[in-house]
Amino acid sequence: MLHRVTGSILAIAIAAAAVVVMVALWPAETKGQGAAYQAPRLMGTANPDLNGIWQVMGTANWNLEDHSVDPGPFPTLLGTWGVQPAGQSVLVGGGRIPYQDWALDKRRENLETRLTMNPDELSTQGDPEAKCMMPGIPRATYLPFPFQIVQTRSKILVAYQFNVAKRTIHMDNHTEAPIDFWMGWSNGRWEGDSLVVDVTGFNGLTWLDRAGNFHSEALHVVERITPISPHHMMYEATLEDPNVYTEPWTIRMPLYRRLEGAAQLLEFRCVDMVEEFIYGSLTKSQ
Amino acid sequence: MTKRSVLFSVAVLVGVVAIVGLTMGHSIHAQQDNSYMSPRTPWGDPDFQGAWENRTPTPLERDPQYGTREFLTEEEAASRAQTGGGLPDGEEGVIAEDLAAADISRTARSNSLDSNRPGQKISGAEYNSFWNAPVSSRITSLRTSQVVDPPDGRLPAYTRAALENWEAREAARAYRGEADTWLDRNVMERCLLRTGLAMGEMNVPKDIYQTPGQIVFDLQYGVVRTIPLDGRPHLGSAITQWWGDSRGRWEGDTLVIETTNFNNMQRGGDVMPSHGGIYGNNHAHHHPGTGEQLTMVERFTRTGPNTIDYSYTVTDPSVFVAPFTAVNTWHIDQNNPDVYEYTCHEHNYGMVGLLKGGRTDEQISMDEAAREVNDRKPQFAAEWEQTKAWEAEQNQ
Repeated sequence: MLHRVTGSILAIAIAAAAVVVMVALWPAETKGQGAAYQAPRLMGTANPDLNGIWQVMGTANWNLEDHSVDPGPFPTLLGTWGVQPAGQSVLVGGGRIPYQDWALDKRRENLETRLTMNPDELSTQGDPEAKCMMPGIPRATYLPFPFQIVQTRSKILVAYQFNVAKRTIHMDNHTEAPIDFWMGWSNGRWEGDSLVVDVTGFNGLTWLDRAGNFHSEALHVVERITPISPHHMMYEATLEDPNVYTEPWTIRMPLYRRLEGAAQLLEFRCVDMVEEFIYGSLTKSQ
Repeated sequence: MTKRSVLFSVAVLVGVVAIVGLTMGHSIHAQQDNSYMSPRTPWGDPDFQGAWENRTPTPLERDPQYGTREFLTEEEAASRAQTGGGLPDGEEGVIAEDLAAADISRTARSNSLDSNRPGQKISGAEYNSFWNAPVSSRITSLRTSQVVDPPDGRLPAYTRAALENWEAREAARAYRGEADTWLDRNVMERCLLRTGLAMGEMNVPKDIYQTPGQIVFDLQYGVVRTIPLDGRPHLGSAITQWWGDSRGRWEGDTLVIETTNFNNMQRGGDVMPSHGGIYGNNHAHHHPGTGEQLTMVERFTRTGPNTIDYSYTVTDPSVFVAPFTAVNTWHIDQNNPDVYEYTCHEHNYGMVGLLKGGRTDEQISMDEAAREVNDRKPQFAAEWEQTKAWEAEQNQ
């Protein structure tokens, strides 16, 4: 038993090390082509099989850019539970988001008011994550929650544990977004073994992280998901928004397969967890 | 808004609750076309994939006049269609007229007795009768009720425990306003649940996906059910969820899904909410019990290129004296190939407005009391004057 456990730990360690090396060596200019790994095919198709439950590791949801350890907003209430761990930028090349000048001020304001709760600004002020609102793309990917890819030939459903969010990636019959959505409107295609998803149709109300990084309704995201081992995929997202940024920029991070045999998406219906937070100021005084 | 999203079929269905009955083996099977060979997925499972709808003109419970009879005659069906059992057939452009007609008939009905709420009028439920408006006659059925077991097509009686629980919730309701807190509103208004537990209760747009060892239902109202078919056991009993925990298996070409591990919040809490009910209120499409003893078994069988026979059996010994089973036919949804994003909580200014309204009501009441105090002040002052004058006289 001990040997098996040791063996498993070793195997996991080796796999993890391999991924670290792959991430480190992942060429900045690559578009996902030419990776040596050949993923199994989705039955009945020539495409790689991306089905499974996946999760990002890291602290991108705290801040996409470099960030130091920080006590977080309520250290006297939460102790270390609420601490922001340090983390490195997930931008390709490790840089900063190329904001227009006005947008830097807006980000600062977002950070300062991230936990402000004004019922009259229900969906327009403060971090939507804290209020249990749809996370948007790409943030849904790197929330600290698993998500499940349900892949068929013509449609790919991505079901996120957080707030039971989901989106449909249309693989054929590509159309323009009929209206705006919190999670955008996704059209997908295959480039070799990479799933490339073009996401538009945002409503501009979602944020990119807890640090107040943001976008407008003009956001256009191009995601690229490439299998790099049986249990890992590389995720890239290029964000373009002429209202907010001076040029497109790209984030990159590995997706890890949840390997627990019993892994399944559990509900994270957070609405009843935040009613006091959101509506508390409007209840009858005792 | 699409026709499907507007014209929720479950018409008369009202209230709604997950219905039940482990005792299938029922008449649904008699109606099944067993000769139909289901298409297969590449890995050999019956293929249910696609966009589906389940509009129906059939009420949940049977009109007692039909006794134990499960089907209407053609003549009875024609008569029912003429007397308001269905809307005129037509293309998308007719919807507005359909809704106008529904609006007129709804107004006419609003003063009649509500069969689902003994002793009460329909009045007050108008808004929801809109959402459950009579459906297009393009989908027809001779069924007298969706409930097929018990044989009278009616829901079984409530248990004493359920009724006592109802009383306790009403008692908790006493001396509360309509919007003291969010707890005074029902689970739909709070964006906690939008549909009943079983997928037949309301015509929720739905997409089915299949991958080896798994079937997934994408329901438009904020629910994705990812259901393992690999024989794994249920979650441990300490894990409970709004939609429970589902496991599926194949019985021949029939998909059987059993769901347990429901949370204890299905009815919304220990306070009877405004616009709430134990059952039979349009505003609260949710299970009347806590959910802790609830088990649901659903069965799906493809009966043709465009149809699935669906049945659901709900057993909750804490709420109903017996299980019961309802049936419903799903049709390929020709007009709506996509299930769109559903958000509710994100823009729930309705709740903000309700709570502000509650506070405003209180303020009006306080202001009115203050005004009365103020109005009495001159008289009060005059009385003092008189009293002081009398005292002064006495002291002279």
